[in-house]
Amino acid sequence: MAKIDLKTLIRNEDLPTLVAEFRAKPTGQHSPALQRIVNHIRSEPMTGKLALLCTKPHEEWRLVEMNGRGKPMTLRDEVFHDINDAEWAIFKLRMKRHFDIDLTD
Amino acid sequence: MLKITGYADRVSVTPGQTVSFMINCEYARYSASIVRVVQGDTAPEAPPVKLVHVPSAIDGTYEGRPQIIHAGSFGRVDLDKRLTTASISLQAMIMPTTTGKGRQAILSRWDEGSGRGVAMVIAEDGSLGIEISAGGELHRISTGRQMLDRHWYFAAVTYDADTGDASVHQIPQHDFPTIADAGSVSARLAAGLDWSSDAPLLFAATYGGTDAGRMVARALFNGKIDRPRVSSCALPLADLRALAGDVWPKHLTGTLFGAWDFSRDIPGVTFEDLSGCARHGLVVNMPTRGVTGHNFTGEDGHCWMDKPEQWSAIHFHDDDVYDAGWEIDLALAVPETMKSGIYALRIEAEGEEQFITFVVRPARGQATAKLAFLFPLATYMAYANEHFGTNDGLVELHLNRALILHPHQQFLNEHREYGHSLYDLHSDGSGVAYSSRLRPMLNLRPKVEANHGAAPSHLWLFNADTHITSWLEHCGEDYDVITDEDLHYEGYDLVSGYRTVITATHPEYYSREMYDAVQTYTHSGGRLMYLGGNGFYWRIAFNKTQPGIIEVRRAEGGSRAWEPATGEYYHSFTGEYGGLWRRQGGRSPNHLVGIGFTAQGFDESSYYRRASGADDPRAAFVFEGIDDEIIGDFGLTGGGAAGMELDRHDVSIGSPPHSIVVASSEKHTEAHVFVVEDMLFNHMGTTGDVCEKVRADMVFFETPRGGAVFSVGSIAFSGSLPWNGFDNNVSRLTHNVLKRFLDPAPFVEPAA
Repeated sequence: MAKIDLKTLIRNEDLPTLVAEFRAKPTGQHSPALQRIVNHIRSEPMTGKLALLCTKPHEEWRLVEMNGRGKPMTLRDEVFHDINDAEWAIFKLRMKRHFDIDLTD
Repeated sequence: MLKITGYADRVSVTPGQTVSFMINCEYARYSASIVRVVQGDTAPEAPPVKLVHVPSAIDGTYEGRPQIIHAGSFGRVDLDKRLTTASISLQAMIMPTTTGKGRQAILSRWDEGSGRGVAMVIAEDGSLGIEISAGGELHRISTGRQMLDRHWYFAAVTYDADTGDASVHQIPQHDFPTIADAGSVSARLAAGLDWSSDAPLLFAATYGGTDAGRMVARALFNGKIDRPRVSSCALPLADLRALAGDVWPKHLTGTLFGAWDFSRDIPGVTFEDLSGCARHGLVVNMPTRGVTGHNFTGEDGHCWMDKPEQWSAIHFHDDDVYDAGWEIDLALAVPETMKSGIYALRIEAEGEEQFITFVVRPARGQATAKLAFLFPLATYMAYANEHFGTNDGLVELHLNRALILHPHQQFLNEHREYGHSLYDLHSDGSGVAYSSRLRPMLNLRPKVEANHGAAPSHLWLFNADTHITSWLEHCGEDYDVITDEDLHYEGYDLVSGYRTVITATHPEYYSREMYDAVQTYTHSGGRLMYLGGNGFYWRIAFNKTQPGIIEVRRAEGGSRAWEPATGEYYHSFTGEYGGLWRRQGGRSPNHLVGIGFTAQGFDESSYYRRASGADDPRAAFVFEGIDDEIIGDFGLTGGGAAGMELDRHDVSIGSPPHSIVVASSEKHTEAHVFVVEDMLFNHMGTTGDVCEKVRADMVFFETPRGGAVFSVGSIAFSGSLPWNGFDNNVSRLTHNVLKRFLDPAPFVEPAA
């Protein structure tokens, strides 16, 4: 139900504006519509959750997929040197995963 | 993945004492040295990391060797090998919690090495069974009916050596329609099986031999065991049932081999045999005691001291760990001249670096400075090896940002034998009530980041607290370091020699002894600077006989990671009621420091606005030389001085009526949410963007005999101290307070 509501929300809102808002500032207070989308896609269960593994403190983060309690995480290929770029990459993957929306840079 | 880990036998050490280090190093060689920890934040926005090498006999390179942890709690009764019986009955009331896990031993005398012994087990299919072997063929039968998790069963198995008859009885305490979980099966196995072995009698495990002086347990059981009994004959079901109580028919006492009562010595590690055979036992790795048994009614009191016979159970977990028991690799005899401070053993091999943090405190009763930094060891232990980043999928809604994991968290997710924090769940889903420091604590070290604590530094607890020590050194203030474990054992005497005590960013976990010592201090002329948020929140207990372990029971309510079962609200270590200090009768954090926990959120921090109380002449020293209306709109923890966890001034909860609010924060994000303990009915408008109670209040008040308290009510606060080379209004304001608090001129409580 929530997913359908969110799809309606995305249709009715100006999606490029929401995406631009996230791209400009992925953390902190968002507009109500963006926060609702973000809360939904960030509620992925631990198994399958996209996350970042810090590989060099404050310099490098690698995209990972969690596999649940006690299980090694899956290391993905994407490596980032800016945490906001990493947030953006996860956002794009999740918009595809949860809403089948393709976003480009 | 980490290849170096380690721990010390003590975290607080006095000059003249020796601290020993136990090291697991998978590299062939490593170098080691002692450093004094001043600043451990590696963020480019922070001042440079400052770890000062302290020349010592430790300096050098050493051979590495792996050391491992054998987690999992169990009970042991050591028996002479010759003390055996051919026929046997094993029985207990059990509450399994992971019937789907595979083979788990409930009661055993089973040697995994020789494959010889007898055991009452949960079989691979989750049903009760018996295993018996003379070392060759393994004989086993089970009911084939999977038990329900978290339900009680009468469980018994027998073997008659004369006939070879074996039986298994699995009888649920409650029957449910559609659930077929009762079963009694029997079979004729080989007669005269000689299953005797060197194995001790174990509860919740089988015997896997020894490793470096430690007993190794296998087939670890998750769940509760209540009233275990062993008889030296194969008893019929009626007799087994008769033994399940606490009074036994006379005709069964002659064959009773042991009947254990887990309600004896609940605070300790022994358990007593009431059969008359004196086969008393010990628990290993601290399973949870003071838990309800199969006969808990809820009608006869809720504390195990009321009717111990209703708490005659132990909850065993396959991931409990108390003392890792590693062998010593290095030791430092702390010279009498070593200045009190925070130190670490630095270990390095092939580019990997690890630290074992410890404190050199002054000798008892010999303060060497006017100021003491109170190292919150109890809280560090509560969070030791936390798994926030891998526990719950909703973690990102706490953070309101992507989940960033760090190498130690990757390691801990896979190495569950390193044990858990008080924020985690055991593998069976029950809350972790005990945490020990006698194991590597991989987040108690400089240069480590965390999930909590926001950008740019992403620090939490210890490493965030180095913002305070680096600030003190920048200001040229001399200070001792003492731990709150010392405070627990020594009470007010530990702090009586200091003019001012300064806390860390998050001194959350307090025993009664710790709370009383701080209160006696502030009521005896002492000055307390509480430079954090959500302090003095959970009540904890230390164990009276086992060093280095604390307990929490998250009773009733509060912002908490798990909920104890009804009847398990009282600490097993002391019998004290657990939970929030605000529910402990006139001892809320507000009573102690003028403010108490009101909200938390972990995305971005905000700022304080000067309040009218700043103009009160009593508090004028706080803002001396500061004309700014806005305080701390910058910082290393979320970009502001007010954030993460916040405390509110509230006279109705205990803030002293004469306390003055000199500044309050505002404009918090939606991620900062009002705490549940302040809500009766849930209601709208509880987030930082709309709720005025989501704020940090900065408070000052005078205390008896010339003392005073200054509290900032925000975990992020200290992240602003180092900003701009320590030149900022948070730093100036805090130093104003420190200078006045170190001034011997007494504070005077305002007249009525």
